[in-house]
Amino acid sequence: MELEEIYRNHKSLVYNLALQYIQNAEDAEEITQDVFVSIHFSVSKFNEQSKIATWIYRITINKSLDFIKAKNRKKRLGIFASLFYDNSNELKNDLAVFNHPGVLLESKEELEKIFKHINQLPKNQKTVIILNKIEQKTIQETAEIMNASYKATESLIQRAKNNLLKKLK
Amino acid sequence: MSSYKKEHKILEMENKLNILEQIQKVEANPYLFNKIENRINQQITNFISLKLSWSLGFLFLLVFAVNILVIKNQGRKNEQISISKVAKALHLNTNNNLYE
Repeated sequence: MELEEIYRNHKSLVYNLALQYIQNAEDAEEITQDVFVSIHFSVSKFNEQSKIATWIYRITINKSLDFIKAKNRKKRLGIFASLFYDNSNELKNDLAVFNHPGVLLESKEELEKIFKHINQLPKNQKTVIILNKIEQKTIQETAEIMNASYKATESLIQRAKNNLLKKLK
Repeated sequence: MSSYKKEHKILEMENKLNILEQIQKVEANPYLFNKIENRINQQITNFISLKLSWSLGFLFLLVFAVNILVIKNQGRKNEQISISKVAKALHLNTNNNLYE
């Protein structure tokens, strides 16, 4: 399969999914580049038993989580930088400046607050919230992308929602 | 809190999360594919130069090892030649057979 064709059909999926993880247009572009370079070098290993979109979803999720991990590691390298916020015991997990082009101006403040809490969830809970609530995938589709059972995904979504709602109280 | 109130509160909170569904899909930079192609070409070039430098390094080590072996063997041969020369000059028997 030609890379250009894969890019044409899936660029929006990759870029938007990366945006939900990182909420910054430049960083999402960087992740999109990483994803398609990785696809170029591993397309021959693609197992045609699963759908190509599912495979691309998995690569994008992994690349986004790796990007966030690398960014946080770089931040913590500063010897004198604190790992915690000044007025609380909450662990710092800030990404770049909130610059999500898919967010309308009138709901920007509220969404920025919700994303701040989403970013503090464990990574699999963050993933189910993004896939199920933002990308509006069904539980079955979410389970397929996460390579998990329907029941496990359903309970993970419930746990993630409860945690998020607790934080939003 | 009554179960009705509890349910109402949960629904209210769930509605808060529904705002996430309002996020719109956006298009990426139109020149992104060119950037991806450049990055792929750069990675291929890096891979080739890395392979080439490993091959050159291996070749250098091989030449070095062959040189050491040759020098070592040359030394041993010279030693054998000089010993037999001395033995000849002093009319010494160079074999272990006593009855010849």
